[in-house]
Amino acid sequence: MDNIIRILRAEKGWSQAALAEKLAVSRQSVNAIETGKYDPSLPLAFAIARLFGRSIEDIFQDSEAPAKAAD
Amino acid sequence: MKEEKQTLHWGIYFARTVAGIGLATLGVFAAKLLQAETTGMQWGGLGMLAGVITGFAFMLARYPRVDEFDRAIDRVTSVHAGLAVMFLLMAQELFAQMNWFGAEHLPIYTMPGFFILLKTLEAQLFRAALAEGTNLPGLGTLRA
Repeated sequence: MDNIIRILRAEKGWSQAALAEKLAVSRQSVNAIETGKYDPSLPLAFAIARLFGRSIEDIFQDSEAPAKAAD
Repeated sequence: MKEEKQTLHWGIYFARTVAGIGLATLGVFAAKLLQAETTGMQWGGLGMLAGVITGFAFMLARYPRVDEFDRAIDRVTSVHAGLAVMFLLMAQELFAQMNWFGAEHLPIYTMPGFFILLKTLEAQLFRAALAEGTNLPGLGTLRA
C-alpha cells in the first residue's frame, strides 16, 4: 500500500517525531508507515486522515489496484 | 526533506542479549542439577528452573508494546523465535538419533534463553532495516 504521508507531513513542516506525537504512536511507526513497510490499522488510518483533513483514499493508495484492474 | 535519525536503543538490545545468554546458562545449570543423584541437588535444580521460567516471563513482559507497530514486531518475532526453537529441538534430536554428532544435547531448559536471543535479534534487525531504509527478507511479515 502506497501513501503520501511524507509529502503531507512536509507541507505541514512536521518532523516524524511531531507527527508521531500527534498520532500517539512511536516515531518508528511513522517511519515504517511512510516507507510502506507497515500498513496501519483502520483506526490509525482514520486518525491520520483526520489529522491531515483528507480522506483515507486520498492518503493511501492500493499499489496492486492497477494490476488487478488490468486482469 | 531531511531524514530523521531513528533510535535503535542499542543499550536495551545488548541488555536483552545478555539476559538471554544468562537465561540459557541458568537452564544448563538447572538441567545439571536435576540430573544429580541427591534429592537436595534436584530441588536446587527445580528452584533454578523456576528462576528460568520467571526470568523468561519477566523478559517477555518487558518487550515494548506501546503502539500497534511495536505489537506487530512483538507478534511476528515471537512466532519466528518459537518456530526456530522448535526446529532447533528437532534438529538436535535428529542428530542424536542418527549419531551424527557425539556432542551432548542442549538441555531443553535452555530454550527460553534461546527464544529471547532469537526474538531480540530479529526485532533489532527489523528496526535497523526500517531505520536504514533497507529491504530485509521477512520484513513483509509485519504487514497485516
